[in-house]
Amino acid sequence: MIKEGKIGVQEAIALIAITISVKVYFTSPSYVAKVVGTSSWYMTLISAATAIVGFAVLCKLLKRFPEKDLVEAFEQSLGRIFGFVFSLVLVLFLLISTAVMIREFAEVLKVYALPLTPPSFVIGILLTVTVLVCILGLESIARAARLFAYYILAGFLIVIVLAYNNYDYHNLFPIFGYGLDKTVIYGISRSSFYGEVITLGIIATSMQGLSHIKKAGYTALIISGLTTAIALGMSMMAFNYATGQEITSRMYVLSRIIKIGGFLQRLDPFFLFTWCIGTMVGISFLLYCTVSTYCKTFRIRDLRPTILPWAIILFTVSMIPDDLTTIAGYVQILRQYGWTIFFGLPLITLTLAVIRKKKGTSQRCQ
Amino acid sequence: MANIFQTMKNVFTYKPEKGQAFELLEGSTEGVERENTPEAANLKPGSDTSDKTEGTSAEQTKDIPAEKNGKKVREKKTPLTVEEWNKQKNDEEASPDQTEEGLVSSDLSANLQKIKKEFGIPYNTDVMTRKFKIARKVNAFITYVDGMVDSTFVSDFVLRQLMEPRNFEEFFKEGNTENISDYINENVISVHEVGKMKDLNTIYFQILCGDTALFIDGAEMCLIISTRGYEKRSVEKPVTENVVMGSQEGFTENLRTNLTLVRKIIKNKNLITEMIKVGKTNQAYIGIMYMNGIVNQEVIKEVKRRLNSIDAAFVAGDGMVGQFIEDSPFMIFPQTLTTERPDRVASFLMEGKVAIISEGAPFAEVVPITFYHLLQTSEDSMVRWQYGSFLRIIRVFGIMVSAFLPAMYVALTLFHQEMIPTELLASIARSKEEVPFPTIVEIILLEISFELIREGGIRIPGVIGQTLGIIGALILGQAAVAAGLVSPILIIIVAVTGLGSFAIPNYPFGLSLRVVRFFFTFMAAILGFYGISLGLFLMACVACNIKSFGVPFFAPVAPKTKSAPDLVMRQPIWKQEERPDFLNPANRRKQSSNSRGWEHKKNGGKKQ
Repeated sequence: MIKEGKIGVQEAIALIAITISVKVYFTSPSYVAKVVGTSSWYMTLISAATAIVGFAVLCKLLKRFPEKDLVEAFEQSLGRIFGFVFSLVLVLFLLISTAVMIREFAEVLKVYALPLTPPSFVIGILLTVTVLVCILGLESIARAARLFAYYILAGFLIVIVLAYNNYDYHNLFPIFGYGLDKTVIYGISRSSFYGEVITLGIIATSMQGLSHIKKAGYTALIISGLTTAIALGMSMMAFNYATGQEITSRMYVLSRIIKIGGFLQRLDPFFLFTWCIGTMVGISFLLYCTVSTYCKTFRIRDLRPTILPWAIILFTVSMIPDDLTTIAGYVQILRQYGWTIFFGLPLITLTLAVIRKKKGTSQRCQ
Repeated sequence: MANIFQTMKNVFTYKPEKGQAFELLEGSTEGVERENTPEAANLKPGSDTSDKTEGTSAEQTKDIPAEKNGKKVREKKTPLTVEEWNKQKNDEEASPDQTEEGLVSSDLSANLQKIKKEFGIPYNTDVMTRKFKIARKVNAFITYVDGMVDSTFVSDFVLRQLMEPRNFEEFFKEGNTENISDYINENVISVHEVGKMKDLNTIYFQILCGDTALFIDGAEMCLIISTRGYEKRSVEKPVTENVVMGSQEGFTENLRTNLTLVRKIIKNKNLITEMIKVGKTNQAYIGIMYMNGIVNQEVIKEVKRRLNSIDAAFVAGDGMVGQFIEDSPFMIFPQTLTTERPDRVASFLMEGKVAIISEGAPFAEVVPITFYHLLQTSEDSMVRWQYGSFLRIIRVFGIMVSAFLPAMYVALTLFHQEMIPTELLASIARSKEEVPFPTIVEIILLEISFELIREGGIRIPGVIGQTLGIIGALILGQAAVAAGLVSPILIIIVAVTGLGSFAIPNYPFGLSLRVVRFFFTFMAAILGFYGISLGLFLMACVACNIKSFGVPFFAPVAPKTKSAPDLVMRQPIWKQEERPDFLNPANRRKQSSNSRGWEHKKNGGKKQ
């Protein structure tokens, strides 16, 4: 078994909430404005609610296989071969999600902050740091996430508050956007925006019991749901839905349009810290989860030697898309169909476990 | 060259993870309130060992080989062959400790020869031997290290008393069967501490410590008379931890004085001082102080284990001891807290921490510590909580400025000019017109100059140092601007950074930030704010990985433990009811929830 250390509820909440929420700084809000219009801010709450249901399924699965992580649950429920296949699918999906997130970050950074720096350099140096951090272990990443959590939240709220003179609540109307049905359907299908919550299943053995996992998962989903809804709502109020569709990163531009007097303006580079550190937490955690799942699938006892090769693979995969437009397309595909992997796999596993009457036993009871 | 290849090889070679490191926070007993554990049985309250140096050291000298033997047994997993066993047995028998060679002889001349041989007399002029007759009848000699003893004391209370025949009238009476050593110990020498010893190695060590050894013809024992009287500095104001309010006493280089300074503050029978000898050649004593009944016994065990395992020829002062026992020597941040204030040590002891006080340096090391301890001074508790919190916020600001200001300047001027207001940007641009260097070279030149002035200012003797440092900096800065080498705004940046670093209360932490500043500046030069973020994230993860004697560096924030009322913001002193949870102290409660008893009118404020 891999020694991953122990993390507490608050560290887990910080990890998951940051990994999910930081995506509001990327291209997703603009695409959401394109598909559901002015109703995007509550569409994301529907997504969060769907993710809560998905997470409840994961919790049921973990309850059925106590003291086991998701990979072990796959194996015990589906048998070695299918369990292996499911785990491998999860590894590949996490790899692709991480690669897409890295490239999206590099491209957005290029647009707004570092126009002359090649994305390969931005990604290369980010992955170098990520590799070092992953070698330090899950405990270090989780503690760093906890350490930065309040700072990131404060940075986010400061942007929202300081941009107050740009808000026009009329921009939120018509309240149903392109139609309530469309909003609900998109809301449900885009639940994969919150899909990272299932990583709690991957690191389940590092948590102190199912009650902690539940507390961390539900709280993280609520926090990230609220922050995302606030970000989408406020940026929609600042830019109407037509303009909002054209902006690459609505949150970044929101920080850019802050102007309070002659001195307090153009604060966007200052908020770059919030965004960058949040993304680094997210990418480090996702890379760690990818490597951890891979090592558990192949029963590798020490994950450290595999981190560097995985980072190289990640770099290669993230460099495949040509440009920001291509990567934005991939992001939308992932968001649209990602739920099948994030929440579908645990659901299938749980259903088959119930049908096949497979159940794990707790070591503690014995 | 070979070392470089070895390092490269180590980077690319797989090494399995080491076994479980010492953990305090995640221990199985986490959250369990404990009474004094059986491990502390030998330290029952009241059995204060601080004044029993001899006994403790004797115990410790037994402990060290036992530890080492244990290690040897663990290492040798295969059973010994008969030849090996015989050889080992012979070696043990040949050991001087076990033979008469290593013991005091009844023949006085043999003892004198051994002393002369061991101390290299007459080449070694420090060690003195003085032959005389006790009561004009019995041959004897004393040995001591000149300068380490109080010579007046030796003359008046040792030699004079021994040579006076009247003191021995009872002894030489017919029918007296008493041993002469015992008689002298009990009736003649009026010194507070006299011990009887047989083992020559221990006697040599006591002589080196400043005691006087008395050898008597016919006696198989040696009397060790406490006559220590070497020169030592008096108690003065702390140099690196000055405060406006609070105690003005600082540690000195003398271990006994330092222990007394702490004991003077905590007059409690549960304050324990244990002595450990480290440094194979210089044989320095180290005092471990803790409050029995408050401290977590696991921490004590770990401290002793680490100190006993030090295998070095020379260990002097806390700085060296700290480096031998810290958890992660390659991490930039300090993992032990160095202080020269006895009041601070006392307050840490009352929290459940352990103080390690060594001979030779006016500092004590406190373990375990967290990042937040490095922001605090003893003054914070002496002033009202509002002022204390304000001072700490200023210090945090100082830390931020010290670590990030040059990096922020580089990032702003090279990558994010849009953030600078137009007038200021124009001013910066104008001032840089004359400067031939790129910003990064300019700032590194000036930072290095500042560090030189700072280092040079410390080395220049006397009061000239500080004055010359400030004047040097002013003149150098002015001249550099006039010569067009640096821009004036950069002088302000470096000066403010310097001010920020002076606000850091802990010197080793300040040094670590001075190093880290260059790393952040470099990161800012290559990637602007993104680079600083990368550096900050990496540094935070590295720091989160550090543990100080099992306590994570950022506890109780990351990982989150029960909140402590004394982190950056200081709660009122009467609300600080519990000791920090991350220390797992044996007794968590520091004071009652009713510490302002006078507010409760029922009993008139009397203690319940």
